[in-house]
Amino acid sequence: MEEAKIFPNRELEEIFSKRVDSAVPDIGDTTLFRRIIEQIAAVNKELWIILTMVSIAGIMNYVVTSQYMILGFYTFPTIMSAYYYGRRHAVMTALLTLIIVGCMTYFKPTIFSGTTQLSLGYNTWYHVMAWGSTLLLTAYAMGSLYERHQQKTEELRETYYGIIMILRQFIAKDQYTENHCYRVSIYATKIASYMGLPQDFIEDIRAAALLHDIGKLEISRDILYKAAKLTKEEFNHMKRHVPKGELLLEPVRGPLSRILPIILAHHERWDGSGYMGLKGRDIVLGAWIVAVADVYDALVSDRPYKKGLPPL
Amino acid sequence: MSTMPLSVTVLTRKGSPPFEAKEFIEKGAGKEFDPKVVEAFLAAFRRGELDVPNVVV
Repeated sequence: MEEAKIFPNRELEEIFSKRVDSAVPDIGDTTLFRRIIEQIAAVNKELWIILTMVSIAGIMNYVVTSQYMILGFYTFPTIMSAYYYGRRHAVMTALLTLIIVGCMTYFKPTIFSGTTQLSLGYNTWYHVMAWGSTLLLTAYAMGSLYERHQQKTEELRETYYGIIMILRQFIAKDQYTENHCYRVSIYATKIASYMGLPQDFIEDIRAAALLHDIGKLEISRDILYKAAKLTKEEFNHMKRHVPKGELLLEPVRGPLSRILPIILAHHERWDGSGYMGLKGRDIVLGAWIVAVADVYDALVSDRPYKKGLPPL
Repeated sequence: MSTMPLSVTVLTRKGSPPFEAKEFIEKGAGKEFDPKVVEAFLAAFRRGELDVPNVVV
């Protein structure tokens, strides 16, 4: 007995382990240009934030009378860095800030000693070092918090996709449906990435495409497998699998509640002549994407249906 | 050989060539499908992004 695998084979696993971002297309020059700009912005975002804050603090050094207050401003880059980028970045930023402040103290010892009561007094170095260690501790603690949070989120995300994969195997009672769901999710994510949709949205569409036949769980397998012509009654039974999917997922909240409308409406037609008569923008965009992917796969692949049955 | 059960002889509909399927979807834009989605679909199709390896088909 072969061990149970989420992925039927290695090639599929490779296809699926590739996230959509590797398949982001570059249609024409404008998109490419936009992507380059986005890349530069993404790489240097942190640097810009820190540089801006340090320079603001530096300028204020010469503007504000109470110089001691300025040390407070120098903590902001570290805190922001911990908030956005995690422990390593935060500690690095704290060290950098310390070096800058240290240099300033060294070259101009009076810089942090103002005329107000809050001034650092004679022992400037003592104060700067005390401030610096607090800053480092803050950076370490905040960064650790951030990283723990990230780890938990990642774990939850993996669990979510694992469960979708397992669920998909329950939905797909036969090899055809299983691979069909796979292919539809591949097509749907490709189309979605060509439409320039955000990554989260694409992930929702991928999940919806994998589960789009969920309602078939309660449908008699005989009908699905039946190669003979379906009677009207049987076809009606078949059509019912869409609302059944909705009932199954009704109590669900969170990401699955976003993919529910997609699953529900993927058999609708744009002009409103579908199962529920909804049309156009009444239906979430994801449903239209899954609809195209579903029909395309139904047309292209070999399936055990009566020849000539509309691929819906 | 001769006593093969009838239920096993499942008819399999052979899939249409991808190009025909593409034309079908192209024709359905605005009637059956969202025109914008079809547009993206065609862009992906033209770049061969919708060719799925044989293992999956």
